[in-house]
Amino acid sequence: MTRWHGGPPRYDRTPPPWWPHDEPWPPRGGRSLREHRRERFVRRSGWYSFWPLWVLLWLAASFGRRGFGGAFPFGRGIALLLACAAVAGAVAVIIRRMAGPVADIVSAADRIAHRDYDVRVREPEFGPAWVGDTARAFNAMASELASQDKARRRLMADVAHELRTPLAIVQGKLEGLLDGVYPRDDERLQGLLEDTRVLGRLVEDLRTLSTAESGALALSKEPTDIVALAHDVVSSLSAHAESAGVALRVETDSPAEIPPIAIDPLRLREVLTNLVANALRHTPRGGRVIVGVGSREGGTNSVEVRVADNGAGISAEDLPQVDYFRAVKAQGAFSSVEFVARKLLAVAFDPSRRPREVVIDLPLEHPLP
Amino acid sequence: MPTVLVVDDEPQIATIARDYLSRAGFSVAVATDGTSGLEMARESRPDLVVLDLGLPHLDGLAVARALRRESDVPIIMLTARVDEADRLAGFDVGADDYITKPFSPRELVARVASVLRRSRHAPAAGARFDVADLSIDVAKMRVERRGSLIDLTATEFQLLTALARYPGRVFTRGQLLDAVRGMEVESFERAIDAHVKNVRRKLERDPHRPRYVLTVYGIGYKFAES
Repeated sequence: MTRWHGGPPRYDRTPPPWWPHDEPWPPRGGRSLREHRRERFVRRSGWYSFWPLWVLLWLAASFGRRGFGGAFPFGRGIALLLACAAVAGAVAVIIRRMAGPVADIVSAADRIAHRDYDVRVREPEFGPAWVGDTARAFNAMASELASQDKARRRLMADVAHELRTPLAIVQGKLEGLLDGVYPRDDERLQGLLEDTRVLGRLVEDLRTLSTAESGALALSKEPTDIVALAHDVVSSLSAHAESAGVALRVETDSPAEIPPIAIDPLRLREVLTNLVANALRHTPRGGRVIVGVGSREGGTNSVEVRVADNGAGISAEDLPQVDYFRAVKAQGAFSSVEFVARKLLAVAFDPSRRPREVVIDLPLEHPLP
Repeated sequence: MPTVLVVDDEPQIATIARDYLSRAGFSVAVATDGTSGLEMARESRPDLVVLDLGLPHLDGLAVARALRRESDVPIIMLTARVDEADRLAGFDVGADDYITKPFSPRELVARVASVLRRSRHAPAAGARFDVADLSIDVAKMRVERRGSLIDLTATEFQLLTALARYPGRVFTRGQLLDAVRGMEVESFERAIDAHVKNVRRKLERDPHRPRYVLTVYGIGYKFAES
């Protein structure tokens, strides 16, 4: 990688790890400005360290010679000079070796500034520890940026995906009105208004999501009776369950043992409502959906809320590779609220040990006696 | 009257599709999940299936795969999944067309009609067929354009035949690789590009502006619809 003035550019046989896959190596059409700057940096680090060192050593040597009272043989003077030059050269080479990794980091940072988060620098095999530490810290930063960027893109894609279906409904109905497929009456218009409200709610969910992402969503925790809350959710959805022909009920194991839990009741209510509605949607007529509240199996310091159904559920093979949010999506449903639950209720959101069950694990601040 | 089966878990989308298609003179059946969609397709043997990808119980891709194993009923994917990878997966399981939501129901009707027309005109695995101004003789491995013979290698011939049998239908590189027998199994999918280039060089008047074998960006190739 290092080069003196002049001569043809020399490249390593393999590209550096941060080199983009879709760019040719060695680069065609001459070196880029970035590459040029990198090499100049390395060259100058060596060069600027060589000369001062050389002069310093030479001065020291000549002072020493004078110190011997002028009885210094000429041949020895030459040898001393050469030794000084050699030492200065060796130091310069070492400095250039250190400058290489630093220059790599500079180039890679330049790439990151241009939103290429796949860049990684090579950790130097020798040289002072701080250079290696810097390289490692840089790589950790790049990984973190890459994962954040990926999450953001996925979120945007998911949101766009979820807006498409309600939009298609509005577009289809409007075209139907224009094309005379549907009569232009108040009932139709009312329906369209409701459709735009659905879109509005989705956009509202999106806002919740983005505040959740930035960590700005405030939770107001208060002692909450989980069993009462579960009953509340179930009764609000009972009409829906009835029309779907699905049995819906709450099951608790000894409710007296479950103390109030400090949690944001509004958020938990949203999450539960959503999970139950989702379960109802995926349970065939004649099936059942159960909201179970109980202490965690084998542990006494948490309470779990289960939503179980005998519908399609999340397939077991979906679970290992997808996070909870994606699994629910694969099931055909979307809710930012579920995502918010996982991120923000500050609870473990167990995507279930069994395919047809979603478990919310609520930690108790004081363990059960 | 051709029958169309619409499989979509969103009842409103299914209703809109049904209303438009029946107004255009199709007989329409609706299923709201994958399992019942597959059952209905088996029972009523529709002329075409409009299939959503994100279905409860049985995913749309699985339905398409199952349908393809049993019949060559034309399938139009109607879906909110717009990523190139999803489109590729859709075409790979043998979809004939891919419409993304939000969509214009008028366009859906037009696509349904076009795919039906294509499938009806698709020649059976016959020995000879004409397409555009080409005449392809499968048995003799000869391609003629207005009487003059075009000299193709066996691989190029198979590639052209696979595409030309279904004008307008999109083929992924993987599907074309399957269609071209005799190519090394481990051939890279991009090898298809090289063969297409050769076919174009021999077939097209201007290989840079092809009229027969068209590129579908990000997916693969198709033969131009007349």
